[in-house]
Amino acid sequence: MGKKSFFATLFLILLLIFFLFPQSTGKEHFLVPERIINLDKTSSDAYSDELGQVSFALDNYFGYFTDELEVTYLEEKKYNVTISDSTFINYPKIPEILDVQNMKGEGRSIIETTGYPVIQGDRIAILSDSFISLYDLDGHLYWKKEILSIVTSLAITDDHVLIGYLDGYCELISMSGYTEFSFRPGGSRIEAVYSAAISSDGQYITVISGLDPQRLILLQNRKGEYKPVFHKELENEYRRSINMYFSQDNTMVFFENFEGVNLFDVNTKKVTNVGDSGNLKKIYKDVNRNLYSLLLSDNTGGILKILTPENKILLHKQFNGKTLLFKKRDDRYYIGSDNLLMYLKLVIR
Amino acid sequence: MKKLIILIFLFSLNILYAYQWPIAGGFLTASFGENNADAFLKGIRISGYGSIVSPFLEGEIIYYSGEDSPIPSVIGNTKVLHHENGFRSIYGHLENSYKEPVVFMINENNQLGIVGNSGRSYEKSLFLMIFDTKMNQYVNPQIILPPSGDTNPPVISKVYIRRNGEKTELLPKNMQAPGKVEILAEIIDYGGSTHNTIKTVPYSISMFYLGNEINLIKHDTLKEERGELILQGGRPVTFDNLYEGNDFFLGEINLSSGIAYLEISASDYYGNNSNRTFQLTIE
Repeated sequence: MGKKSFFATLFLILLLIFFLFPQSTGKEHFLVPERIINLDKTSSDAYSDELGQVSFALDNYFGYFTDELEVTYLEEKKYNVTISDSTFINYPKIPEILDVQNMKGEGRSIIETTGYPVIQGDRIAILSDSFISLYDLDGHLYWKKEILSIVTSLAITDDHVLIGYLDGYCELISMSGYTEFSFRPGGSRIEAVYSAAISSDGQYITVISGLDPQRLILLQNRKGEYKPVFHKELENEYRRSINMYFSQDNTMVFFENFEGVNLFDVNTKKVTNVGDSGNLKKIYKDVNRNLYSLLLSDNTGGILKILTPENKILLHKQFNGKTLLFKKRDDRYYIGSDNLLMYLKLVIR
Repeated sequence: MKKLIILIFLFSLNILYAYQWPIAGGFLTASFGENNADAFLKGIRISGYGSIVSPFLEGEIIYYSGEDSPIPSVIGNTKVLHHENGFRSIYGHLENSYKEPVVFMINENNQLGIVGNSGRSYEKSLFLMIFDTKMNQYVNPQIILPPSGDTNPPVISKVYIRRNGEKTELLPKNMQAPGKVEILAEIIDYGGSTHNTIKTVPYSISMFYLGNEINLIKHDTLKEERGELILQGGRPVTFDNLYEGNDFFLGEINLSSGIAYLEISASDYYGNNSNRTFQLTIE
């Protein structure tokens, strides 16, 4: 046996060993189905007296359910719905009045407007082609502003609203309607903001802007002023609004790419890629286990993955359906697929 | 002078670039600057059931949004093109295509989408806006698109005089007391000769009193200043200072003793013009 054929045989044997005995992660992850509900067959009789804390909007329906997936409120969408874990607005295609309701469906406030609403936290933003306005959940107006450009992204914190515009700039507006910060990233052949996100503590702002190149920019609040501290040219260019948000602990930024999800660490400024192809629907970071759970969708359905930060797949599960939902509370996973709602429990052995 | 330069600039662009209506055989259902749910309409609406939408000029798709977009949009499914001359054209209310575009450079012969009713619209229509990135303003598409063959002049149907909040319709001859009064008018432009039941607003409105121009409104461009949209072309005006329901607020005049003439004039984009003169005997 010559040297060449010896190494070739050795390589094949090693390859065989690698596939036959893959390296174990030590523990296996399972999602055990606990409950499945068909929303088409769920009537108002099934309502529990308990208050559901988890909101959902799926296919033609929306409502609330408990941790054990007992539906406590269920209603059909008029045209669309914006819903938080305490409040919803079920609005028609051509709204004139918006009825703000609590999780029991009781009226909370009325807002006269022709725009479409977005509830984030304790705020309601109303978007029209010519204005944007901000209300609290009791229908009190904070401010209203006429706008020139198309709004491509919106992020609301307790104190501020961050708006990204297709014109190529973004602005941070205070509760009194004052523009505290305006930023035009530039540096690209086509100027446009495709996404803008703000950390819940207001310390960081991230912006995805431009075409040719498309760039990620990190701004940090230093002595009350936001300064660009990092920028990176992105390999993939999107021409639509991009889902981007901070992790709950404000250490990571998640945003889509063609191969899955980019994880951007605001401290180390490193961008790593996890997941697979598809549009990012939702991602959760499990801080205790240092794991990511994410749902990616494509034309046929969705893929739920549980991954390590090194992109090691611990769980991979496919769901069919045109409309998808993913919510996670601790080890409880709630997956929605068209008219089906599923409660799955994560078991690690 | 500045307005003249802008108009010459827009005219020269029209010669340089071959603009086309995005729907073949389409007709106007709403015009630039009209009252759109208590705000200026920033573009025009063109009707055409099931029609194919093509770009008004060759360009690059730089943005598209659909029903699954993270931000709800009252103009529904939208595509935005960037053009070489610095214009951006925005096409709204498109039918949902369920497909992400793969070709981004498209010309006037390519299909951009299908007319739909997505977003805040019951009827199928195309919403077209043209944004000038160099001037940071919306341009009235009707100024730069080829003429539609409209031969109908605008109709000045009613003119009102308002004193102390009380509104009275003006007749050809009127007796009035001296003092300050406000003038309002109901003026309609029927968008085209074949679909003349659709009411739109005229291109320009002017008011003369005692031979002096009191007001000139032109629907050329919309610009943002201090969080407010300003209609420009004639005297710059905000929405709240121009519209009172469906009436145009044309301004205030001071009536003093004698006989005076108030003249209201309106014209469309193609030179069709209407005038009404009112004699005011002030005692």
